[in-house]
Order: sequence, then structure tokens, then C-alpha cells
Amino acid sequence: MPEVMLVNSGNKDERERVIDDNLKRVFDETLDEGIPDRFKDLLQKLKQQDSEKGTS
Amino acid sequence: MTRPDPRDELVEHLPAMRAFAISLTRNGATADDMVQDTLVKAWTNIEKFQVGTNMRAWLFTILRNTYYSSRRKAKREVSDVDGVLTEGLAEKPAHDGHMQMTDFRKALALLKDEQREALLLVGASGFSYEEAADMCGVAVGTIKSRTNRARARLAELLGHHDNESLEMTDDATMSVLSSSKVSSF
Repeated sequence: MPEVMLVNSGNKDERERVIDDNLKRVFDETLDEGIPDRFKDLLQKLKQQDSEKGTS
Repeated sequence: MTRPDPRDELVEHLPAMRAFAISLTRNGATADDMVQDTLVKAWTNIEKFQVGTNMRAWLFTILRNTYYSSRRKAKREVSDVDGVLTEGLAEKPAHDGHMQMTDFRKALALLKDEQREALLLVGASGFSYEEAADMCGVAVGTIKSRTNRARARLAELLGHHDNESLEMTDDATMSVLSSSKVSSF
């Protein structure tokens, strides 16, 4: 389980930086998961539908 | 020569869309359903995307509109989430100043949707205040104040207090902390 740093000082800028760092970590964890198959399948299906309609 | 199809770029933005959706909805399954809706809307309305503009901003705008219209439909369901999450945020930060990432997530989930969204767009996704204001359809100053409030609230929830006596100690303290201003202590 990753740990996050808390800032004990009352420094506002430092506190904001730490909060933003943590936010980015929350985001990055999802980014690292890559793309679930359901979305690859969906894009494939959308592409296929379009080519069947002859629009692309 | 054929022009590149902007739809080919959609896939590149999928991980960021999921990250935004998960943080916004606080629920992985709901988030992925929303991302799916967004993807279909984007695909079928691709002619509305202006080539050369920020595609991620366009997609996030569709995503947040999808979220807010579904939230309006199921308001009661969403508002219940807060109570459940509040119970879980009991663990107080260790004295060495470290805390589990799960608590950060829980604190994030306790923010008002509008504040969390502003913070996610500006603090985590790298959009400017101006871009975020455009996406949310509000003034730049509104985004700034939402972001500031979100950061202050997170700091409060996570125990960034100058006063040691305000440490979170148990469920009871935490529920008071999360439902009222710390200054009322």
C-alpha cells in the first residue's frame, strides 16, 4: 500500500503541492491500469458499424 | 490524400477519461459506464469536434455532462455515498506524518462534486483555470475559488492542523469533523 506524505507545517504552498502530488498519484494508478478490453471491443464495434454503413 | 480521422485519437485519451470518471463518480463500475457513454457520444458526434483544439478537454466536457445529467436523475442514490465513506475515514495519520493513500481517496470523495471536479481538472489533469472554466461553463474566478476550497477542505480532512488537539481519533470525532467546520470545536 503506497503511503503519502502529509505536511505538518502550516505552509500553504507546500500543503497544496502535497495535495496535488497525491491527486496525481490517484490519477496515475488508474492510468497505469491501461485500457480495459470492454473499451477496445467497443471501439472495434463502432468502427465496424461505420464501415457496414459505408461511411468510412 | 485522406485527412487523419480524429476518432483514431479517442483511444489515447481513454486512460485519462477513466481516471477523471473514477475520481468524479467515486465508483469504478459507474465510471466505466460513463466512459462508455462518452465514447459512443464522441464517436457519433465527432463532426462537432474542432480539429486542432484540445480533444481531451472536449471529451472531459462530454464526460462531466454525462455525469451531471445522470446525477440529476439519481440524486438520492448519490447523496447516500457520503455517509458510507465518512464511516471509513477514521484512521488518524501516523505521527511520522504518513497516511495511507486510501484515506486520501476517501477524503477526496467527501468533497462536493463541483469542488472535486475543479481540483481534478486543475490539480491532477493539468488543465489551466481558463480551460477548466470553459469545460464547466463557469467563470475563471469560480474555478479558482472551488479549487482553493477543495484544497482547504482536503487539508482539513487529512488532519493538516496546526493545533494538535484537532487530530482525528475515532469515528465519532471524524463524523463531526466531516459534517461541520473544525472551528466549531
